[in-house]
Amino acid sequence: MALVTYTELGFYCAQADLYIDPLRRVAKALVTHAHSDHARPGMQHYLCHSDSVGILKLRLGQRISLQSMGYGESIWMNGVEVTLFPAGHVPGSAQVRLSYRGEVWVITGDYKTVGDGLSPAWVSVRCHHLVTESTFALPIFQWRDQQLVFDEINAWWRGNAAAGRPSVLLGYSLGKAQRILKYLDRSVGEVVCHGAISASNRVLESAGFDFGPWVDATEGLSGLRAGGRVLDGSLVVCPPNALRSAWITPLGNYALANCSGWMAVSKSGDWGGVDKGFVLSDHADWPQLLEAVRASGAEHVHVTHGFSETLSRYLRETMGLDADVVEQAMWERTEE
Amino acid sequence: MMRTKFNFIGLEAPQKVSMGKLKLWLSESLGMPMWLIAESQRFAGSLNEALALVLGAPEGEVSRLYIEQGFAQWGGWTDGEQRAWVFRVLVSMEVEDRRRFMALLNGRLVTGSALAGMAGRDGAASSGTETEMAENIASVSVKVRAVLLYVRPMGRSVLQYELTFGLRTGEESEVTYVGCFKAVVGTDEAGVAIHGLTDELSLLEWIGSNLGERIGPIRGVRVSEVFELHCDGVQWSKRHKAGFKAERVRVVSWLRDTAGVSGLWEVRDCLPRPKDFGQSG
Repeated sequence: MALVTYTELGFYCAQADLYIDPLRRVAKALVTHAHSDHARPGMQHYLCHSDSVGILKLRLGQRISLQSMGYGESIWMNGVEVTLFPAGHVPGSAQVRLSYRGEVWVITGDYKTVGDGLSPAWVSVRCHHLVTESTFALPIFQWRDQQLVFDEINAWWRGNAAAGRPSVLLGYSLGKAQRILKYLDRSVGEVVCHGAISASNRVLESAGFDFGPWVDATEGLSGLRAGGRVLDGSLVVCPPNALRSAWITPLGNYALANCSGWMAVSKSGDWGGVDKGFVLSDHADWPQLLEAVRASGAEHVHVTHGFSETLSRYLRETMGLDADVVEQAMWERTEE
Repeated sequence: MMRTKFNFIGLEAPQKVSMGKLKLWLSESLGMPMWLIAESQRFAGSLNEALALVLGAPEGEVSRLYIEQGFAQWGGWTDGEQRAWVFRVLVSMEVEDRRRFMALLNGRLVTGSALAGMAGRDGAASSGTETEMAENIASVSVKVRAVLLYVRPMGRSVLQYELTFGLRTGEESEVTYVGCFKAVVGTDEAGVAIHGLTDELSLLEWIGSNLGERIGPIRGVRVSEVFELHCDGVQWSKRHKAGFKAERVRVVSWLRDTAGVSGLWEVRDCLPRPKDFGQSG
């Protein structure tokens, strides 16, 4: 029997009686990172990287049973060595290495191989079996150096501020938002954060992460205005769902942009209702996925979560690997 | 730094290169399987968009002079030399410029004649004024094969129709058409065709025999006839269902062949991105 199998509850190591990012309630859940499509509520016991502890408790409750470990540290579970390595996706994200009697599996979780200056940088881990995500596994997805993207973002913000117009930038509350915050040019104006992002910010700051000054808008934008803040030249960072609430209304005539890997494909000018799209992702693009597979030295590759058929076929036909598809039973659009 | 947009004004491809051939060339040059490009096309929405993106970040740089010289030598090159040259040019460009260069090669992008001959980006020879003019180009001319969808009778004393032509959306198996371009055909009071279409009188006769359902002031016709149109001043428009509009449309020929109606995306591929659009790779 393989060391790791895929069950209706998710990836499972029977020898260790351990699930990785399980879909429903199990006894022992190793969570690769704190995004909601990987860290689900209701598990009896959680295991995660130490940088994910605060966010997991914020999202799943302070009373969850949780054990943490650092990168490179190992714990033994019924003879299985379990080790976490940086995945470079978001703060606290980890690849999982499982080793038993000479057989090594690595489950990447979500990852990117290029460092972003915020999360600990991805490292390659040698293995026999690699389980890789494939969110952006098409060659049309090839990211640019992030500095170019942040230059564009800051130029866009500067232009809006010069016109006396607030800027709104959409980004998920864990990872993407903090990555954006870290590289915004504060000489342009103040950076204001939606409550969901502020909460993540505080937890990560207490864990030692630093992404520059920001203003908390948990109490609402109208409260900031009433308090004397001039928001016209500000940049507001909020999750996409904030646009569907009255929270955004006090901003008035704002310019709106989205930061996402999906912005690479414009569909001939359709940016999904925003004024501008910036191509910025916390997932591996096509070259990074291939790099990760090669660097792992794995002979067997199991592809999940995204364009899995495409990547597995490419690995089989072009790279000569034994690759297959592991269907995610409850596929959800990945948080970025 | 993002590169300056390339100035295509006045450039004319020496020979039409089909998108299928461009796909094959890039597949060979990149060592990328054709099926993978097809998968990319399915998600990107058009082959042009997919090819522009799979090339990744720009590498190297070529001048406008290099392109002019390549076009001049084109006829004397082997297929392999043409492929290598096209690959080098495309790789050097930003994504948007790749889209437009492929449309130029493909014969779908007709560069403006009014500013023809204006020097463009050419290394040190490029001036700031020329770059600015190139940046400000908001409309293009395109040639398309469009299907006749509706007609609107015009006038009482003359036989004239305003024709609405449509382009394709979706894949072949689920073809639908969206009305995009309008043009007028008809005769003067003496019954003489006046819009320069060779078989204009035959077309008027065909319309008269194939009028369909009345929808307000317009009449449907049997959706079967395809025409080559030359459209000038094509630009983005949020008020039009197709996403773009044209200032002038001329019916060049009646193809009498229902195959090969152009896709909406083929016109969109030719259009420069609006100024407030970003493209980071």
